[in-house]
Amino acid sequence: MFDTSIKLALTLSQIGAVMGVVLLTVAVLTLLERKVLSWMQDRMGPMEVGPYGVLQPVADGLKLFFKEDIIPAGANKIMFSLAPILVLVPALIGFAVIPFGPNWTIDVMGVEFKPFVISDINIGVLYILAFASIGAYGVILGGWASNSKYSLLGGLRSAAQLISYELNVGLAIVGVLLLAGSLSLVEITEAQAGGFWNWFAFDPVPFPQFIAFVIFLIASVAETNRLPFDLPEAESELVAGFFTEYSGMRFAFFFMAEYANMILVSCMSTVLFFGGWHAPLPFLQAPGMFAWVTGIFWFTAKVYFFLFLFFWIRATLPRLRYDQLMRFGWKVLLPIALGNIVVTSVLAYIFPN
Amino acid sequence: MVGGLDLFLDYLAKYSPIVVFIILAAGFGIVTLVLSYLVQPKYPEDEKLSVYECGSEPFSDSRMPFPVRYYVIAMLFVIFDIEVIFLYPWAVTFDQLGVIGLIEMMIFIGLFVVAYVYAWRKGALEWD
Amino acid sequence: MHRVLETLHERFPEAVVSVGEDPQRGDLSAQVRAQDLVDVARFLHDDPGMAFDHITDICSADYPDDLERFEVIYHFLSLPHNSRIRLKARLPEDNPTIGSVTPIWKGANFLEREVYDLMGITFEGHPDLRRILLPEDYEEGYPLRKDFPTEGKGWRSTFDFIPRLDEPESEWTEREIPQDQRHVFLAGDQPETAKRTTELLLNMGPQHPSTHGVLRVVLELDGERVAKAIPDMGYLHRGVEKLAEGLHYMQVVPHTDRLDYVCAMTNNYAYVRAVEKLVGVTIPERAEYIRTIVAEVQRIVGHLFWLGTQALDIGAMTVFFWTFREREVLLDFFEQLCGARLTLNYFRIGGVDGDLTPALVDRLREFLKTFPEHVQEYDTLLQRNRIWVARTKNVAVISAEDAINFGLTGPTLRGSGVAYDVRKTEPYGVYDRVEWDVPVGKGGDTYDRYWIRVEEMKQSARIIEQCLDQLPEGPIVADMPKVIPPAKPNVMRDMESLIHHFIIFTQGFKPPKGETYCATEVPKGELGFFLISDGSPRPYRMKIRSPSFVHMGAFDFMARGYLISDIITIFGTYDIVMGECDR
Repeated sequence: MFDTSIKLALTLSQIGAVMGVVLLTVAVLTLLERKVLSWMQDRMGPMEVGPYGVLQPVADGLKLFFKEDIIPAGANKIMFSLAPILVLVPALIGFAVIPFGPNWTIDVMGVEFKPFVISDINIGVLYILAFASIGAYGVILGGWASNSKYSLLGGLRSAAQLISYELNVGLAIVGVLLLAGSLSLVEITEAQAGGFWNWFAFDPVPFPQFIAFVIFLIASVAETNRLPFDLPEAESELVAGFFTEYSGMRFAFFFMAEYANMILVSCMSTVLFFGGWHAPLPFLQAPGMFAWVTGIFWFTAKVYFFLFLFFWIRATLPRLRYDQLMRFGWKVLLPIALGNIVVTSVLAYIFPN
Repeated sequence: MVGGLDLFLDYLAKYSPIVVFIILAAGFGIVTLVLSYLVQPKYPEDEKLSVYECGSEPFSDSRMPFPVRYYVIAMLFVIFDIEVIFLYPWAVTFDQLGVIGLIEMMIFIGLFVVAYVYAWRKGALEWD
Repeated sequence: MHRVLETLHERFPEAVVSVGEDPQRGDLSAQVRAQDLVDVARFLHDDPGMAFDHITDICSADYPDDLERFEVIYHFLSLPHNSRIRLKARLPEDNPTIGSVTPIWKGANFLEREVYDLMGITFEGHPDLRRILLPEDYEEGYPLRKDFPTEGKGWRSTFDFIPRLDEPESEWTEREIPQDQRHVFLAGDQPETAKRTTELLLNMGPQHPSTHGVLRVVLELDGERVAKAIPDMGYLHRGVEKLAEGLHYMQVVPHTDRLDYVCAMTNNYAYVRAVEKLVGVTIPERAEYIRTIVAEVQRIVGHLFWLGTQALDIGAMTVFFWTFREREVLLDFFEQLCGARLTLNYFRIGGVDGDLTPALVDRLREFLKTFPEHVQEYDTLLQRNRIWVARTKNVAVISAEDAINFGLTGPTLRGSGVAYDVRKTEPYGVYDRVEWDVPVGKGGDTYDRYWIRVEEMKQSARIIEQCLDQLPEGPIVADMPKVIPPAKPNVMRDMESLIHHFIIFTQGFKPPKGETYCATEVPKGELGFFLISDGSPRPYRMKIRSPSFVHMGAFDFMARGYLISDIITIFGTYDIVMGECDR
């Protein structure tokens, strides 16, 4: 009983820490995105709230918290209220299987405890993919429940887009699974130890998964509804797409979910293709009991690099049109991803590790 | 049966944090919404509650039936996604399956490609 | 007599009542019997010797004292022969009906609807004769008729959204609305037939992020494909044409600022040129150069604005901020030149308001030095960008034939491969004294129109550069004391100037009786002013031929079969500004 309570306390504090960090990162990202875009566009970005606008996310959050939540006439109230939660929860709980630091097991008063991953389940990749699909339901439901045509069109668009690109995400990962031989994110990370030449994106033997990484990145941009794939919420076409009718905290949830998803796919890119917590060069890794410091540092650095990439893409590219998006997903990404699997598996058989 | 129990306990140990996480995340969502509901102003009025259609009166309910071209895409997704799921266990146990597994999977992917080419030629991938 | 008029007279001895060639202004006009107008128009369009393939404008005038009260005035342009003609037909008050020329020129559709809307003239055979600028339930009559008061007949004051001070504040904001009073849009409210339709009707605008103002388009959607697009305009209709009838010629200039509020300079230019053509003013050399320079600066400003917004519509937000950065520099230049940034009111009849000082010249040169680099920057983001190309190539394609038939002008017409630019065909300012090219597209798609506008910015920079080099010294306002206010120091010094000043500013000047149409190339296309003078200090009738309005006439034609996403690129590719469209 004592063991269970300790375990529960540890788990709760761990989950609390992860959720706290993720939500904080979301807040930071909302500001960071605006700042990064501003710098790329020769302007200042938010400057009013706090020094250099650093308190802008707080102001935004408070404002949305105290805003009236409008449920439009004719909307399906239950679905309408459920949708934001259905979007936010999957975006958050994906972090349960992400290893943030070295795979250590420490002993806390007789209880085994892994400090840097909430739960190292052996189907981590599937788990994330499964919950990512549930997030899509929230988007579709929100669009349909609003009873607005713009929302409906946005919801339908996202339905088609999310399923099309989910396929590509799934196919892109298969190559990594071949090399790692596991679905556990911890084991996948450990298989990439030693230096950047061992990361799956670059590992020359049997076959570098860089193409798979590019496909994964493109598809995950589409999965998170970011430019140039932000068609479900294309503001110049569908006003705000599936969340046109949302206001107040519910709107904030969609917003938070989008950023949480960005962090999640950045974490996944890091873990699957870029060696997770491993340093790019062996000597950049602190030895012994300080390894977790560099581990978390490198993990965070890589995640932020991918997040920056998201912003950069947004500042550079215009939006695709719907038919182009579908054509790209089905006729370009899908064959390449398939080809990658074939080549990787054949080479992996010829040059086994 | 002891092994079965151990497996069960192992699963419990591994998945219980996830269950807790789901509860916490959903709780966070619900509590925030409820708190926000308690402090927010509530002044509903006719115009405010009307759905957004660029300032005009909507012509009709948006839930009327109208043609959607995503249906074929949805069916293709179901078929292809199941095939992808078959690839996963194969990929994980690739080392143990040896050349037989490789050949079998190549045949499987070959079938996949045939279906894909068929769908392409039939114009199912032409989104319109 | 002019060849065209001679032929007309010979061919239609009965129908053509009279023909005339304005000796000073060079305008050709023919008075035609109303019942024969369509035949004459068809001849003008079809006959290869005439080839008036481009419809410029349809306008109407009201002469309440005449036996036949209304006059419908058609302006046609022959692109092959580069000549214009004005057809006029008189209609009686009791049955103001005339045949529609829509079967000949598709562009006549909107123009005839406008005449119907504002003057109450019915066009027989018009496919869709409805009000266009005024609301469909407008009941006060036809505002451009002379017996209609400028301030309206009081309909406006019945609107319930105008706050009324005599009513107590409403209380419902504090409580929930009872369920039965709520206006709920449910499927049950719909008639049975509505459910059967397979097409979704969608309102786009007036409050939409990318309809460039308050344009409303009703889309009939088949999935995401547009089956039909019905533009609904007039949300910004202010009745400038009616207002102008109550103002002195000089007082109209600020109103033109507010037509195409993005490019005020070129609007000013178009108007003052029309008045100068009517009065017969010769502009001093330096003023001509300054006018050309500021008009081209304005063209760059307008195209920068267009490029930014079009890119933003398609999702490339960085271009928007970059173009606005350069636009800012030019607006600062305008501010130093005339004190305003947007509504500039810089042109005067007979010249310009302020001189281009050496400091301003330097400033402009400074800008021109860096400008090509900046254009290059936009190109790096767009020109080779595969997404941009995919979004613009083969979108909203219009053939040269159709474009002409719809009366399109400016980059929208040149994108289809027609090298029609008023600055070349009827040179004004100093456009014939500088070297520049007219960029012409091939495909008639959005990409070509994009490319043309970017090229035009480069050409404008070229024109400005040459003008700055050639800029002569001299006065900036013509010396014509009866029409143009004398310089302020003279007013203070000598009696005669004071008298002129007093008369011009209290009574206005009186141009000779007559009428004239004057076209100017503005960034959007051909902006024309048609002025009828009855010899009084106020225009008897002023008609604005706004390119945005004419372009909207082709909207349905160009939008059909494309996707919702393409609709917004079509708004962008017209470079539409509602202030000018709705007037």
